[in-house]
Amino acid sequence: MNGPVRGPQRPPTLAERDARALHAYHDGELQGFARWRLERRLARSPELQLELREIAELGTLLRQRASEAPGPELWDRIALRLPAADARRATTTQERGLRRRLGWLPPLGAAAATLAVAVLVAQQWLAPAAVERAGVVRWMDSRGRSVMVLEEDQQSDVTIIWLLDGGPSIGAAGGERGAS
Amino acid sequence: MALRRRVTGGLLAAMLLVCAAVAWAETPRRIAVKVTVSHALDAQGAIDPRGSELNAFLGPQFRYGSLKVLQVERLDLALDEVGTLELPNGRKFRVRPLDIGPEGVLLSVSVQGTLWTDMRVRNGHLVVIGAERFEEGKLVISVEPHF
Repeated sequence: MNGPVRGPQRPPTLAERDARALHAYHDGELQGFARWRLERRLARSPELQLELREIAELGTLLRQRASEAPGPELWDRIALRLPAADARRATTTQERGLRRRLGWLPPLGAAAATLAVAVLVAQQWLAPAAVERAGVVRWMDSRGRSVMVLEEDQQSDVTIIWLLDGGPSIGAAGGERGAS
Repeated sequence: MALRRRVTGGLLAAMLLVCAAVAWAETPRRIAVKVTVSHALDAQGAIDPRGSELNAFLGPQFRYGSLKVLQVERLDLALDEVGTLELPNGRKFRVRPLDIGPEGVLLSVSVQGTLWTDMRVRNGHLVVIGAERFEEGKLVISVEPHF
């Protein structure tokens, strides 16, 4: 099995070694013989002196930028707002979760509402037609005997079917529907 | 959490309602038919207190001397079930609910050998059938469905 392909390890060039040493010297990390040797070279090399000055200027610039960074009060203010933001985010997440869980309710509600409207419309428009008064007696067979039928009227809530006994009808006015 | 409980409770209640509605829809409707058999006599006499309501309807229309209630039955019937009653003259009175609709229950009623009729009767509406003569009077059958 082949390992990852790497390029050949290149030894640092002289300039790179000098730059590292200068940074370490500037940061106070260079000690002992290495420090003594670099100081000797610095004394003789204007190029190294220039580079050291540039490193120092860069450090000053970075410190200036750092001093312009937000102070502790700003971070405190931000920190004070964080719980509210968290709470809002939590609420939003809960609402989204609830919405996701109850997402099927709106279509169901719409279907129920549609059904209710349909039932109401059906009751409104169909029922009155069906409730048209047609009388109580719908069909009758009296084996050839005379029958008097008195349907209900304003005075009485009763329907009377009266088989006549062969004599003249005792009829009452109105409501007689038929005899067979 | 409270909202979730409320929603769950509401859903459970809705499911129970749906189940109850389905059970109600599947339960066969029953019709209680009150049948009263009375005897309207030619001879003058008393009016049976149990027949006072019937007398109030019949009195203005027909002439008779007295009224006696002979039989009161309450038939608890399903649709298409036939309820039978034996009349004092030995004939059979039969009633059969055929259908329930917005106008009432459709009843098929027969007095054996005399009358056969289909009637659409509202809940609690009274139908009075003056059937054939019996002894010195006339049999009167009252039918009152409740559903």
